[in-house]
Amino acid sequence: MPFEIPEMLKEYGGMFGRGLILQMVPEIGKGVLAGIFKAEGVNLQKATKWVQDNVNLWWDVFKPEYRDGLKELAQRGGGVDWLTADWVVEAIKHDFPLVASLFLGWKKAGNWLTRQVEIVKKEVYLDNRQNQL
Amino acid sequence: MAVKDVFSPKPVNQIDPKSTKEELGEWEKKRKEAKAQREYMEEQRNIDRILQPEQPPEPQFQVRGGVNIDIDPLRDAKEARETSERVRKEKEDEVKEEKAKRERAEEERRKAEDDLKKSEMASAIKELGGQFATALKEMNTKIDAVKAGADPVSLVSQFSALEQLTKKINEIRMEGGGGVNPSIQLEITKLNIESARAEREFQVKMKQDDRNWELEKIKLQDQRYFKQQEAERQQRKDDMFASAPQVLGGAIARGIMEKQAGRVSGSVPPPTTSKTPQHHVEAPVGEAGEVECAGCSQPVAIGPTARNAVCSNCGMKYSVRRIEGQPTIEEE
Repeated sequence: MPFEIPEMLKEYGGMFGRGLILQMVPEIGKGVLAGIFKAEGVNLQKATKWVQDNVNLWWDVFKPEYRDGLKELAQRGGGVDWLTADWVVEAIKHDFPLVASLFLGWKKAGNWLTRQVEIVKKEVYLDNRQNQL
Repeated sequence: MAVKDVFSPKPVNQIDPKSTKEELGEWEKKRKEAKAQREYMEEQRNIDRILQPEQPPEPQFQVRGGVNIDIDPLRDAKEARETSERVRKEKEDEVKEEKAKRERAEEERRKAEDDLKKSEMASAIKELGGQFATALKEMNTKIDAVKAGADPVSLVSQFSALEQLTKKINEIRMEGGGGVNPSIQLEITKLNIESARAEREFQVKMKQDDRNWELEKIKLQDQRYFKQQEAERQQRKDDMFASAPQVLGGAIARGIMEKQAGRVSGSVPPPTTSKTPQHHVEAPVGEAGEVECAGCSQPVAIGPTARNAVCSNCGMKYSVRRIEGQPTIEEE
Protein backbone atom coordinates (compact mmCIF):
# COMPACT_ATOMS: atom_id res chain seq x y z
CA MET A 1 0.00 0.00 0.00
CA PRO A 2 1.42 3.46 -0.87
CA PHE A 3 2.39 5.45 2.20
CA GLU A 4 4.09 8.69 3.07
CA ILE A 5 7.10 9.05 5.36
CA PRO A 6 6.01 11.34 8.23
CA GLU A 7 7.09 14.98 8.00
CA MET A 8 8.96 14.68 11.30
CA LEU A 9 11.23 12.07 9.80
CA LYS A 10 11.87 14.18 6.74
CA GLU A 11 13.01 17.06 8.94
CA TYR A 12 15.37 14.85 10.90
CA GLY A 13 16.59 13.34 7.68
CA GLY A 14 17.35 16.78 6.39
CA MET A 15 19.32 17.62 9.51
CA PHE A 16 21.31 14.41 9.87
CA GLY A 17 21.30 13.16 6.33
CA ARG A 18 19.79 9.93 5.07
CA GLY A 19 21.25 7.90 7.91
CA LEU A 20 18.33 8.37 10.27
CA ILE A 21 15.76 7.53 7.62
CA LEU A 22 17.72 4.46 6.62
CA GLN A 23 17.74 3.30 10.22
CA MET A 24 14.02 3.92 10.57
CA VAL A 25 13.04 2.02 7.42
CA PRO A 26 13.26 -1.48 8.97
CA GLU A 27 11.12 -0.32 11.89
CA ILE A 28 8.58 1.17 9.52
CA GLY A 29 8.67 -2.08 7.59
CA LYS A 30 7.77 -4.00 10.76
CA GLY A 31 4.71 -1.87 11.21
CA VAL A 32 3.76 -2.37 7.58
CA LEU A 33 4.13 -6.15 7.83
CA ALA A 34 2.11 -6.31 11.03
CA GLY A 35 -0.56 -4.19 9.35
CA ILE A 36 -0.66 -6.54 6.36
CA PHE A 37 -0.99 -9.59 8.62
CA LYS A 38 -3.80 -7.90 10.54
CA ALA A 39 -5.62 -6.99 7.35
CA GLU A 40 -5.35 -10.59 6.12
CA GLY A 41 -6.58 -11.94 9.47
CA VAL A 42 -3.56 -14.20 9.91
CA ASN A 43 -3.77 -16.73 12.73
CA LEU A 44 -2.18 -20.06 13.62
CA GLN A 45 -4.47 -22.08 11.37
CA LYS A 46 -3.95 -19.80 8.40
CA ALA A 47 -0.18 -19.74 8.85
CA THR A 48 -0.10 -23.55 9.15
CA LYS A 49 -2.10 -23.84 5.93
CA TRP A 50 0.29 -21.48 4.16
CA VAL A 51 3.24 -23.62 5.16
CA GLN A 52 1.57 -26.91 4.29
CA ASP A 53 0.32 -25.65 0.91
CA ASN A 54 3.63 -23.89 0.20
CA VAL A 55 1.75 -20.66 -0.56
CA ASN A 56 3.70 -17.89 -2.28
CA LEU A 57 3.24 -14.86 -0.04
CA TRP A 58 4.36 -12.27 -2.60
CA TRP A 59 2.06 -13.34 -5.42
CA ASP A 60 -0.79 -15.21 -3.71
CA VAL A 61 -1.30 -13.27 -0.49
CA PHE A 62 0.12 -9.76 -0.87
CA LYS A 63 -2.28 -7.47 -2.72
CA PRO A 64 -0.82 -5.12 -5.37
CA GLU A 65 -0.95 -2.18 -2.96
CA TYR A 66 1.10 -4.15 -0.38
CA ARG A 67 3.67 -5.01 -3.03
CA ASP A 68 3.89 -1.38 -4.14
CA GLY A 69 4.32 -0.27 -0.53
CA LEU A 70 7.16 -2.70 0.12
CA LYS A 71 8.90 -1.74 -3.11
CA GLU A 72 8.71 1.92 -2.20
CA LEU A 73 10.01 1.14 1.28
CA ALA A 74 12.94 -0.70 -0.24
CA GLN A 75 13.61 2.17 -2.64
CA ARG A 76 13.64 4.75 0.11
CA GLY A 77 15.59 2.49 2.44
CA GLY A 78 18.30 1.79 -0.08
CA GLY A 79 17.48 -1.91 -0.43
CA VAL A 80 16.10 -4.80 1.63
CA ASP A 81 19.21 -6.19 3.22
CA TRP A 82 17.48 -5.88 6.58
CA LEU A 83 14.71 -8.27 5.45
CA THR A 84 15.44 -11.65 7.03
CA ALA A 85 13.41 -14.44 8.59
CA ASP A 86 14.47 -13.28 12.05
CA TRP A 87 13.34 -9.78 11.22
CA VAL A 88 9.91 -11.12 10.23
CA VAL A 89 9.59 -13.05 13.49
CA GLU A 90 10.60 -9.95 15.43
CA ALA A 91 8.08 -7.86 13.51
CA ILE A 92 5.11 -10.11 14.24
CA LYS A 93 5.90 -11.52 17.68
CA HIS A 94 4.11 -8.71 19.56
CA ASP A 95 0.83 -8.98 17.65
CA PHE A 96 1.00 -12.60 16.50
CA PRO A 97 2.92 -14.53 19.19
CA LEU A 98 1.53 -17.89 18.07
CA VAL A 99 2.55 -17.40 14.46
CA ALA A 100 6.01 -16.24 15.51
CA SER A 101 6.33 -19.26 17.78
CA LEU A 102 5.29 -21.49 14.89
CA PHE A 103 8.06 -20.12 12.69
CA LEU A 104 10.59 -20.51 15.48
CA GLY A 105 9.68 -24.02 16.58
CA TRP A 106 8.54 -25.80 13.43
CA LYS A 107 11.44 -26.42 11.09
CA LYS A 108 9.24 -26.69 8.00
CA ALA A 109 7.67 -23.31 8.77
CA GLY A 110 11.09 -21.75 9.31
CA ASN A 111 12.30 -23.02 5.95
CA TRP A 112 9.15 -21.81 4.26
CA LEU A 113 9.59 -18.38 5.79
CA THR A 114 13.19 -18.20 4.60
CA ARG A 115 12.08 -19.08 1.07
CA GLN A 116 9.39 -16.37 1.13
CA VAL A 117 11.91 -13.78 2.30
CA GLU A 118 14.20 -14.71 -0.58
CA ILE A 119 11.35 -14.41 -3.06
CA VAL A 120 10.39 -10.98 -1.73
CA LYS A 121 13.98 -9.79 -1.85
CA LYS A 122 14.36 -11.02 -5.41
CA GLU A 123 11.16 -9.31 -6.56
CA VAL A 124 12.09 -6.04 -4.89
CA TYR A 125 15.63 -6.19 -6.27
CA LEU A 126 14.34 -6.84 -9.80
CA ASP A 127 11.95 -3.92 -9.53
CA ASN A 128 14.74 -1.62 -8.33
CA ARG A 129 16.92 -2.66 -11.24
CA GLN A 130 14.12 -1.96 -13.69
CA ASN A 131 13.59 1.46 -12.18
CA GLN A 132 17.28 2.29 -12.48
CA LEU A 133 17.35 1.25 -16.11
CA MET B 1 87.76 1.69 -60.65
CA ALA B 2 87.53 2.96 -57.14
CA VAL B 3 87.82 0.36 -54.50
CA LYS B 4 85.10 0.16 -52.05
CA ASP B 5 85.98 0.44 -48.47
CA VAL B 6 84.14 -2.49 -46.85
CA PHE B 7 85.76 -2.18 -43.51
CA SER B 8 84.29 1.14 -42.62
CA PRO B 9 80.52 0.76 -42.83
CA LYS B 10 78.59 3.61 -44.25
CA PRO B 11 75.71 4.82 -42.14
CA VAL B 12 72.36 4.21 -43.88
CA ASN B 13 70.24 6.52 -41.90
CA GLN B 14 71.83 9.60 -40.64
CA ILE B 15 70.03 10.61 -37.48
CA ASP B 16 70.90 13.93 -36.12
CA PRO B 17 70.64 13.65 -32.27
CA LYS B 18 69.80 17.30 -31.98
CA SER B 19 66.90 17.08 -34.41
CA THR B 20 65.64 13.85 -32.72
CA LYS B 21 65.60 15.60 -29.42
CA GLU B 22 63.59 18.36 -30.97
CA GLU B 23 61.10 15.92 -32.48
CA LEU B 24 60.79 14.18 -29.15
CA GLY B 25 60.22 17.50 -27.58
CA GLU B 26 57.47 18.11 -30.10
CA TRP B 27 55.74 14.85 -29.27
CA GLU B 28 56.16 15.51 -25.59
CA LYS B 29 54.56 18.87 -26.06
CA LYS B 30 51.72 17.36 -28.00
CA ARG B 31 51.24 14.72 -25.36
CA LYS B 32 51.10 17.34 -22.68
CA GLU B 33 48.66 19.39 -24.68
CA ALA B 34 46.39 16.41 -25.22
CA LYS B 35 46.54 15.58 -21.54
CA ALA B 36 45.76 19.15 -20.61
CA GLN B 37 42.86 19.18 -23.04
CA ARG B 38 41.50 15.95 -21.63
CA GLU B 39 41.73 17.32 -18.09
CA TYR B 40 40.10 20.49 -19.23
CA MET B 41 37.19 18.59 -20.78
CA GLU B 42 36.82 16.56 -17.61
CA GLU B 43 36.70 19.69 -15.53
CA GLN B 44 34.15 21.21 -17.88
CA ARG B 45 31.98 18.15 -17.53
CA ASN B 46 32.20 18.29 -13.74
CA ILE B 47 31.29 21.95 -13.78
CA ASP B 48 28.30 21.22 -16.03
CA ARG B 49 27.24 18.43 -13.72
CA ILE B 50 27.35 20.74 -10.73
CA LEU B 51 25.58 23.58 -12.51
CA GLN B 52 22.93 21.33 -14.07
CA PRO B 53 22.47 18.36 -11.78
CA GLU B 54 20.49 15.41 -13.04
CA GLN B 55 16.85 15.53 -12.21
CA PRO B 56 15.95 12.96 -9.58
CA PRO B 57 13.53 10.32 -10.74
CA GLU B 58 9.90 11.10 -10.24
CA PRO B 59 8.53 9.63 -7.05
CA GLN B 60 6.17 6.78 -7.40
CA PHE B 61 2.52 7.26 -7.07
CA GLN B 62 1.57 8.29 -3.56
CA VAL B 63 -1.70 8.81 -1.88
CA ARG B 64 -1.71 11.76 0.47
CA GLY B 65 -4.23 13.60 2.49
CA GLY B 66 -7.59 12.58 3.71
CA VAL B 67 -10.41 10.88 1.94
CA ASN B 68 -13.57 12.82 1.32
CA ILE B 69 -16.39 10.42 1.04
CA ASP B 70 -19.85 11.72 0.45
CA ILE B 71 -21.74 8.64 1.52
CA ASP B 72 -24.11 9.14 4.36
CA PRO B 73 -26.18 5.97 4.89
CA LEU B 74 -28.63 7.82 7.16
CA ARG B 75 -29.19 10.54 4.62
CA ASP B 76 -29.56 8.05 1.79
CA ALA B 77 -31.94 5.91 3.82
CA LYS B 78 -33.95 9.02 4.66
CA GLU B 79 -34.05 10.09 1.01
CA ALA B 80 -35.12 6.62 -0.07
CA ARG B 81 -37.83 6.60 2.57
CA GLU B 82 -39.07 10.08 1.54
CA THR B 83 -39.09 9.11 -2.14
CA SER B 84 -41.08 5.97 -1.42
CA GLU B 85 -43.54 8.00 0.71
CA ARG B 86 -43.96 10.60 -1.98
CA VAL B 87 -44.57 8.01 -4.70
CA ARG B 88 -47.03 6.21 -2.47
CA LYS B 89 -48.96 9.42 -1.78
CA GLU B 90 -49.08 10.28 -5.48
CA LYS B 91 -50.45 6.84 -6.27
CA GLU B 92 -53.05 7.15 -3.54
CA ASP B 93 -54.15 10.57 -4.82
CA GLU B 94 -54.48 9.19 -8.33
CA VAL B 95 -56.60 6.31 -7.06
CA LYS B 96 -58.83 8.68 -5.11
CA GLU B 97 -59.28 10.92 -8.14
CA GLU B 98 -60.22 7.98 -10.30
CA LYS B 99 -62.76 6.81 -7.72
CA ALA B 100 -64.30 10.26 -7.44
CA LYS B 101 -64.56 10.53 -11.24
CA ARG B 102 -66.20 7.17 -11.46
CA GLU B 103 -68.68 8.01 -8.74
CA ARG B 104 -69.55 11.28 -10.40
CA ALA B 105 -70.12 9.52 -13.73
CA GLU B 106 -72.28 6.93 -11.96
CA GLU B 107 -74.36 9.62 -10.31
CA GLU B 108 -74.89 11.46 -13.54
CA ARG B 109 -75.96 8.27 -15.23
CA ARG B 110 -78.43 7.48 -12.48
CA LYS B 111 -79.75 11.01 -12.61
CA ALA B 112 -80.24 10.77 -16.36
CA GLU B 113 -82.02 7.44 -15.94
CA ASP B 114 -84.31 8.85 -13.27
CA ASP B 115 -85.12 11.88 -15.39
CA LEU B 116 -85.91 9.64 -18.34
CA LYS B 117 -88.14 7.44 -16.25
CA LYS B 118 -89.91 10.43 -14.78
CA SER B 119 -90.55 11.95 -18.17
CA GLU B 120 -91.80 8.62 -19.45
CA MET B 121 -94.10 8.24 -16.48
CA ALA B 122 -95.40 11.74 -16.99
CA SER B 123 -96.09 11.15 -20.67
CA ALA B 124 -97.69 7.77 -19.91
CA ILE B 125 -99.94 9.29 -17.29
CA LYS B 126 -100.83 12.08 -19.68
CA GLU B 127 -101.74 9.56 -22.35
CA LEU B 128 -103.70 7.58 -19.88
CA GLY B 129 -105.56 10.65 -18.79
CA GLY B 130 -106.28 11.43 -22.42
CA GLN B 131 -107.60 7.96 -23.09
CA PHE B 132 -109.69 8.04 -19.96
CA ALA B 133 -111.19 11.36 -20.99
CA THR B 134 -111.95 9.96 -24.44
CA ALA B 135 -113.54 6.87 -22.96
CA LEU B 136 -115.60 9.01 -20.62
CA LYS B 137 -116.72 11.16 -23.49
CA GLU B 138 -117.80 8.07 -25.43
CA MET B 139 -119.67 6.84 -22.43
CA ASN B 140 -121.44 10.14 -22.06
CA THR B 141 -122.27 10.12 -25.74
CA LYS B 142 -123.73 6.69 -25.41
CA ILE B 143 -125.66 7.66 -22.34
CA ASP B 144 -126.95 10.73 -24.11
CA ALA B 145 -127.91 8.58 -27.08
CA VAL B 146 -129.72 6.21 -24.80
CA LYS B 147 -131.44 9.09 -23.11
CA ALA B 148 -132.45 10.49 -26.52
CA GLY B 149 -134.19 7.25 -27.32
CA ALA B 150 -131.45 5.60 -29.30
CA ASP B 151 -131.02 1.95 -29.28
CA PRO B 152 -131.18 1.09 -25.54
CA VAL B 153 -128.03 -0.64 -24.37
CA SER B 154 -128.54 -3.30 -21.74
CA LEU B 155 -126.96 -2.98 -18.31
CA VAL B 156 -124.83 -6.02 -18.95
CA SER B 157 -123.40 -4.65 -22.12
CA GLN B 158 -122.75 -1.35 -20.38
CA PHE B 159 -121.07 -3.10 -17.52
CA SER B 160 -118.96 -5.19 -19.88
CA ALA B 161 -118.01 -2.05 -21.80
CA LEU B 162 -117.04 -0.44 -18.53
CA GLU B 163 -115.05 -3.50 -17.54
CA GLN B 164 -113.18 -3.51 -20.82
CA LEU B 165 -112.51 0.16 -20.41
CA THR B 166 -111.16 -0.43 -16.94
CA LYS B 167 -109.00 -3.28 -18.22
CA LYS B 168 -107.66 -1.04 -20.91
CA ILE B 169 -106.93 1.67 -18.42
CA ASN B 170 -105.11 -0.85 -16.21
CA GLU B 171 -103.09 -2.11 -19.14
CA ILE B 172 -102.12 1.39 -20.10
CA ARG B 173 -101.20 2.12 -16.49
CA MET B 174 -98.99 -1.00 -16.27
CA GLU B 175 -97.30 -0.17 -19.50
CA GLY B 176 -96.77 3.44 -18.44
CA GLY B 177 -95.33 2.47 -14.94
CA GLY B 178 -92.98 -0.46 -15.90
CA GLY B 179 -92.34 -0.09 -19.61
CA VAL B 180 -89.97 2.33 -21.34
CA ASN B 181 -89.42 3.46 -24.85
CA PRO B 182 -87.14 0.86 -26.61
CA SER B 183 -84.69 3.49 -27.86
CA ILE B 184 -84.30 4.83 -24.36
CA GLN B 185 -83.93 1.28 -23.06
CA LEU B 186 -81.17 0.79 -25.59
CA GLU B 187 -79.47 3.97 -24.47
CA ILE B 188 -79.68 2.88 -20.84
CA THR B 189 -78.27 -0.54 -21.71
CA LYS B 190 -75.46 1.15 -23.63
CA LEU B 191 -74.70 3.32 -20.61
CA ASN B 192 -74.70 0.25 -18.35
CA ILE B 193 -72.27 -1.52 -20.64
CA GLU B 194 -70.06 1.57 -20.78
CA SER B 195 -70.06 1.85 -17.02
CA ALA B 196 -69.22 -1.87 -16.61
CA ARG B 197 -66.36 -1.50 -19.07
CA ALA B 198 -65.07 1.58 -17.27
CA GLU B 199 -65.26 -0.33 -13.98
CA ARG B 200 -63.26 -3.24 -15.43
CA GLU B 201 -60.63 -0.94 -16.86
CA PHE B 202 -60.35 0.82 -13.55
CA GLN B 203 -59.84 -2.46 -11.71
CA VAL B 204 -57.16 -3.54 -14.16
CA LYS B 205 -55.41 -0.19 -13.81
CA MET B 206 -55.56 -0.44 -10.03
CA LYS B 207 -53.96 -3.92 -10.14
CA GLN B 208 -51.28 -2.69 -12.52
CA ASP B 209 -50.56 0.27 -10.27
CA ASP B 210 -50.33 -1.98 -7.23
CA ARG B 211 -47.90 -4.25 -9.03
CA ASN B 212 -45.77 -1.30 -10.17
CA TRP B 213 -45.78 0.07 -6.66
CA GLU B 214 -44.56 -3.24 -5.24
CA LEU B 215 -41.78 -3.36 -7.83
CA GLU B 216 -40.82 0.22 -7.02
CA LYS B 217 -40.69 -0.61 -3.34
CA ILE B 218 -38.44 -3.63 -3.96
CA LYS B 219 -36.18 -1.50 -6.15
CA LEU B 220 -35.88 1.20 -3.49
CA GLN B 221 -35.15 -1.41 -0.81
CA ASP B 222 -32.42 -2.93 -2.97
CA GLN B 223 -30.91 0.51 -3.57
CA ARG B 224 -30.90 1.22 0.13
CA TYR B 225 -29.25 -2.15 0.85
CA PHE B 226 -26.53 -1.58 -1.77
CA LYS B 227 -25.84 1.89 -0.44
CA GLN B 228 -25.56 0.53 3.09
CA GLN B 229 -23.12 -2.13 1.92
CA GLU B 230 -21.12 0.49 0.03
CA ALA B 231 -21.00 2.70 3.10
CA GLU B 232 -19.84 -0.19 5.31
CA ARG B 233 -17.13 -1.15 2.81
CA GLN B 234 -15.93 2.43 2.61
CA GLN B 235 -15.93 2.65 6.39
CA ARG B 236 -13.72 -0.45 6.65
CA LYS B 237 -11.33 1.01 4.07
CA ASP B 238 -11.21 4.29 5.96
CA ASP B 239 -10.48 2.48 9.20
CA MET B 240 -7.60 0.68 7.54
CA PHE B 241 -6.17 3.92 6.21
CA ALA B 242 -6.75 5.66 9.51
CA SER B 243 -4.98 2.94 11.46
CA ALA B 244 -1.93 2.94 9.14
CA PRO B 245 -0.31 6.01 10.76
CA GLN B 246 -0.91 4.49 14.22
CA VAL B 247 0.75 1.26 13.15
CA LEU B 248 3.57 3.25 11.61
CA GLY B 249 3.96 5.37 14.71
CA GLY B 250 3.94 2.29 16.92
CA ALA B 251 6.65 0.68 14.84
CA ILE B 252 8.78 3.83 14.93
CA ALA B 253 8.29 4.18 18.68
CA ARG B 254 9.26 0.56 19.23
CA GLY B 255 12.33 1.04 17.07
CA ILE B 256 13.39 4.13 18.97
CA MET B 257 12.92 2.40 22.33
CA GLU B 258 14.83 -0.64 21.19
CA LYS B 259 17.66 1.55 19.94
CA GLN B 260 17.82 3.27 23.26
CA ALA B 261 17.99 -0.11 24.92
CA GLY B 262 21.11 -0.79 22.87
CA ARG B 263 19.71 -3.21 20.27
CA VAL B 264 20.65 -2.90 16.58
CA SER B 265 17.76 -2.58 14.14
CA GLY B 266 17.46 -5.13 11.41
CA SER B 267 19.45 -7.79 13.17
CA VAL B 268 17.60 -9.86 15.70
CA PRO B 269 19.29 -11.71 18.50
CA PRO B 270 17.82 -15.16 18.73
CA PRO B 271 15.55 -15.74 21.70
CA THR B 272 17.62 -16.76 24.68
CA THR B 273 17.32 -20.47 25.17
CA SER B 274 16.45 -21.50 28.64
CA LYS B 275 18.99 -23.53 30.58
CA THR B 276 16.31 -24.98 32.84
CA PRO B 277 15.30 -28.58 32.26
CA GLN B 278 13.73 -29.37 28.89
CA HIS B 279 9.97 -29.39 28.73
CA HIS B 280 8.06 -31.97 26.81
CA VAL B 281 4.75 -31.49 25.12
CA GLU B 282 2.50 -34.28 24.04
CA ALA B 283 0.51 -33.59 20.91
CA PRO B 284 -1.74 -35.71 18.70
CA VAL B 285 -0.15 -37.06 15.55
CA GLY B 286 -0.48 -34.79 12.55
CA GLU B 287 -2.28 -32.03 14.43
CA ALA B 288 -1.32 -28.46 15.18
CA GLY B 289 -2.11 -26.88 18.51
CA GLU B 290 -1.02 -24.44 21.16
CA VAL B 291 0.02 -24.66 24.77
CA GLU B 292 0.75 -22.15 27.48
CA CYS B 293 4.39 -21.41 28.13
CA ALA B 294 5.49 -22.61 31.56
CA GLY B 295 7.84 -19.66 31.87
CA CYS B 296 5.86 -16.62 30.76
CA SER B 297 2.33 -17.96 30.16
CA GLN B 298 2.40 -16.80 26.54
CA PRO B 299 0.84 -19.10 23.94
CA VAL B 300 3.27 -21.44 22.19
CA ALA B 301 2.38 -22.91 18.80
CA ILE B 302 2.98 -26.52 17.80
CA GLY B 303 3.11 -27.34 14.09
CA PRO B 304 1.36 -30.45 12.73
CA THR B 305 4.65 -32.29 12.14
CA ALA B 306 6.84 -30.27 14.49
CA ARG B 307 9.21 -32.01 16.87
CA ASN B 308 10.01 -28.86 18.77
CA ALA B 309 8.21 -25.76 19.94
CA VAL B 310 9.72 -22.45 21.03
CA CYS B 311 8.11 -19.62 22.98
CA SER B 312 8.53 -16.40 20.97
CA ASN B 313 8.56 -14.32 24.16
CA CYS B 314 11.04 -16.01 26.47
CA GLY B 315 12.66 -18.50 24.09
CA MET B 316 11.81 -21.55 26.22
CA LYS B 317 12.12 -24.74 24.17
CA TYR B 318 9.77 -27.68 24.25
CA SER B 319 10.17 -31.04 22.62
CA VAL B 320 7.02 -32.51 21.11
CA ARG B 321 6.00 -36.10 21.68
CA ARG B 322 3.31 -37.34 19.30
CA ILE B 323 0.46 -39.39 20.79
CA GLU B 324 -3.28 -39.64 20.57
CA GLY B 325 -5.20 -37.04 22.60
CA GLN B 326 -4.90 -33.39 23.76
CA PRO B 327 -1.50 -31.67 24.12
CA THR B 328 -0.10 -31.32 27.63
CA ILE B 329 3.20 -30.14 29.10
CA GLU B 330 5.45 -32.47 31.10
CA GLU B 331 8.59 -31.37 32.80
CA GLU B 332 11.52 -33.69 32.54
